[in-house]
Amino acid sequence: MNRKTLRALLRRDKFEDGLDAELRHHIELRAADLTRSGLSPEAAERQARLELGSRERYKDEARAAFGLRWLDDLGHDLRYAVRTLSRKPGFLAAVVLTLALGIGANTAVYTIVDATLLRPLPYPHPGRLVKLSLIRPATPTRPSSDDALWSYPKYETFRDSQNVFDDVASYDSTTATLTGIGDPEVLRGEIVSGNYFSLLGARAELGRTFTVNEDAVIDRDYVTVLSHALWARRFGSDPSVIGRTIRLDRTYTVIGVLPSDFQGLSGPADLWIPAHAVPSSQELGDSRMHSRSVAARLKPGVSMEQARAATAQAGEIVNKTFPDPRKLPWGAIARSLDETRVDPVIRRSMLALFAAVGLVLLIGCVNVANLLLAQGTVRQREIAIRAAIGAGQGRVLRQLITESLLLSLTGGAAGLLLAAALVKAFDSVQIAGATLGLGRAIAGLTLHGFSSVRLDGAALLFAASISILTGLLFGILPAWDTSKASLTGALKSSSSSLGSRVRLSSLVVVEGSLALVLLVGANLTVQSFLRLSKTDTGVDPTNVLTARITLARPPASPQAAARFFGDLEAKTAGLPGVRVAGLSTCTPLSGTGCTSTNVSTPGDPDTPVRSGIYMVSTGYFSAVRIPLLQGRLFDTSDSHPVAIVNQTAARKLWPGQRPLGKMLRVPPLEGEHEIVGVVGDVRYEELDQPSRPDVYVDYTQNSSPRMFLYARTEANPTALLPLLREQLRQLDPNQPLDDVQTMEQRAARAVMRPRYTALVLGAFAGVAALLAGIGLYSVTAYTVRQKTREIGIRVALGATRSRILTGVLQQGLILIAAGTVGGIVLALGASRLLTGLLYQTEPADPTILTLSAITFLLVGLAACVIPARRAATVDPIQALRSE
Amino acid sequence: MLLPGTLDLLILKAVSLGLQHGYGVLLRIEQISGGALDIEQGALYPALYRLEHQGLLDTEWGTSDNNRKAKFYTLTTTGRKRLRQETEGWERLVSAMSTALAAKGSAA
Repeated sequence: MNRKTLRALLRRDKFEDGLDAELRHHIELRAADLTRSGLSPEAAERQARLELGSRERYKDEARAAFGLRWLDDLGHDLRYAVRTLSRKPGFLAAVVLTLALGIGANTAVYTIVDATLLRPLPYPHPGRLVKLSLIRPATPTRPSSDDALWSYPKYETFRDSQNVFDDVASYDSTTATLTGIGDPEVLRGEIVSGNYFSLLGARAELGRTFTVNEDAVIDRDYVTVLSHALWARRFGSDPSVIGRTIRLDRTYTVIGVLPSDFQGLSGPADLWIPAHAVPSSQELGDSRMHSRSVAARLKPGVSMEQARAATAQAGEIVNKTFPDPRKLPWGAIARSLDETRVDPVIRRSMLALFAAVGLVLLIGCVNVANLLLAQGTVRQREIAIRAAIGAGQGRVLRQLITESLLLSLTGGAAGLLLAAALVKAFDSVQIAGATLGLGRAIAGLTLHGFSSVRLDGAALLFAASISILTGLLFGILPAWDTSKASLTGALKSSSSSLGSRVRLSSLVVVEGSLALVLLVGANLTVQSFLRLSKTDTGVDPTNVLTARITLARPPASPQAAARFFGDLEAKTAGLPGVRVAGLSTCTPLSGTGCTSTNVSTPGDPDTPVRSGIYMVSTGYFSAVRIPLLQGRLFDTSDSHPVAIVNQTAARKLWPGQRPLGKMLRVPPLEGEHEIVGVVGDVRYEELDQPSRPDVYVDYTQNSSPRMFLYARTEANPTALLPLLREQLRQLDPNQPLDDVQTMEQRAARAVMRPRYTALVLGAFAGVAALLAGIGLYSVTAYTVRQKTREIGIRVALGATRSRILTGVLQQGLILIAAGTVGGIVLALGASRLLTGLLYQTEPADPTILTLSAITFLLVGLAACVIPARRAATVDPIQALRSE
Repeated sequence: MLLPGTLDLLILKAVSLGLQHGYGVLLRIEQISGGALDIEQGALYPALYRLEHQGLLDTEWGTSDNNRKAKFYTLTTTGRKRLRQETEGWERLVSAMSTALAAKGSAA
């Protein structure tokens, strides 16, 4: 297309004005010549006009010469389509609404899939980044893992034993309390090796990032780099923050601020601290302290295969340097960072969701195709007339496809509005995470993906593409069918061909099958959710407020920490409305957050049992109502180490014996602990995982710098919060409260993922069943309309009403039955997608399959009854006259 | 009566003789053909648009003799080249036709 064509295209008015002026000029000159040859001026002008011919024709020719014919045709098709569609507002609304639902939901789900699975990681050359993990062998107490964390010495040894990576960096997440400026606040930080930022290709927005030298000597360089968000929130975006010191557990010098789009590999962080910035007393050098993640960047020209081989080799060197005490072999493994960013469970639930929402759109397409097919038969007269006045099949086909595309793009535009609303709802990471399974593992890059869910160019492109695709999908078959309507056939009679009725029916069967697949999926997830929410957590979550307190500064002694928390518990218990207060190091249903250790009996030290370990106060058990089953709770008079175990621990450690009075080793705690009581099981990890053995010790005997405070209240526990804050401020103004939630909120969070999955799938299935019902209804109603004459004759010949009714119902039932069979077969295959996402529910559960099929049958029958009743009331005289 | 394809050539030739508006092109063709070639007015403008779109003619708006705004056509470089090629082609054709038509039956 050249410049002139473009100008003609864009400035159509100007183009035509020019044309007019030129022709007018021609006529004037010609008329003047003719006047000179003797004609009167009027006759001359008439003659000149006649000679030149029609102005309109020139316009057409000129536009054709400039290659604009197709545009005129398109404009014509569009105007015609708008006229045709606006004459049928009901049809238009039904189609646009169906498509808006389908395209909107698909676009919304796509934005999440894009952010978490498709969009490249936000670092330069993300394809060259790998994640390195240790392969930990199985022990009697712990299963093996191929995604285990590193200790600092193992990381260092690995880094120096390979030559395939440009650089190898370690990182670990932590929390720190910011004090000294305004309200104290718990911040999220990353402890990283000095090369972390250069490896990720991140530059400071202000100041600089760490040098390798700043992460070389322990207890020397206390420097920190701030996130853009923290700098803006706490320092008012003041550039003079560089060089200032801030107070965390000690003072750190701020050397830089990162740009706002940077996020660490373990998730959004407020600040970064070098790994060596710890007191020398703290262990950087313990090869068995596995707490760090490791990432690396491939050297140019090194393939992933070479990197994997080199990683395995370097892993052997690490294993030889730090042999396992039980002589078990450890290894190392490299994976593309991109591939590790989403937990497999989340990936699967996302795929299941995407498949489900795709099915809804497909069903919507079938419905629209159905409507168009029925419309097509109605329109055959119109099409035949257009054919008679010279429109070829191609031209008619193009017209019909233009109509479909206009429908689908209108639906797509409405769908985008819906998607925008949905994405806004997803905006809270909490909800987006829960929908897709983050309840299990909110971490690192996954969180990263969810925090950037947005309706961007890629999403718009996706919406436009699926709009056009659906337009073609539902448009082509009906358009083909309609456009080839023969001239004579259509003008001769209005009764439809058997062929198009068969096509309509088979589309309805397909639609029904797809809807049934979704019904099965939704019923499975709902059942799974119901079973899960009926699971006993072991605690009573009503009216309990919980909050985490991490001591802002290392306590002078363990006793000082215990005293502080003891004071806090006692004062909290004295607040108005509080029945009882308690302390523990971990909350029920906290996922992977609780500590575990290998406990053993003195008589059998070689068969340890992996169990959870909690430092608690006596008040904890009554605050969350964990029942005491045997013995007693802790007593201030206990002078020797004592412990309480749960039922599972008692059964595993002392099967068939009375556990009271038995001794237990609980490393890393000193000495042997006497068992004084047995309490009920509590689900500390996930709700869908059975309770493991748990050991409780007295926090006054073994204190921790981080505890959860519990307060059971008379009524609404959140009302207590201001009092609690004020009381903490009186105890220590530099001490923030963190992670404040009611126990009910924690319990709800544990079932959030299955709950949202069930809700979303249920909504999808509901829409799908509704659409299938509408599809079945429209086909049956259409058939009845077409056969009015036949029914009239049959009634006139003596057929009873009930016979007509059952006849129509029978036909509907055949379709429903075919759809049910198809749906069950498809569901058996498709529900495998849900494996691993269901709790105590088999994907091929026969009860669920039956239940779903019955639901589908009922919906189908309801859809057939209305047209069947209409058929039964056909008046034979009217029916015969109507033709 | 014109041979097909010759209208474009005549227009190019007429325009090559100097700046012309549409009606002028028509008059000029009649003039240079000694009135022998009569152009149908209806065919003129589509041909002009076509040649303009092909980039052989350039246009500009100016004032005509009767002091009215008019669109004037000139040859572009490509147009000039095309005119030369077509003229040569035409001459070859004419001489070939003359030779052919002048041939006498061979006695040998």
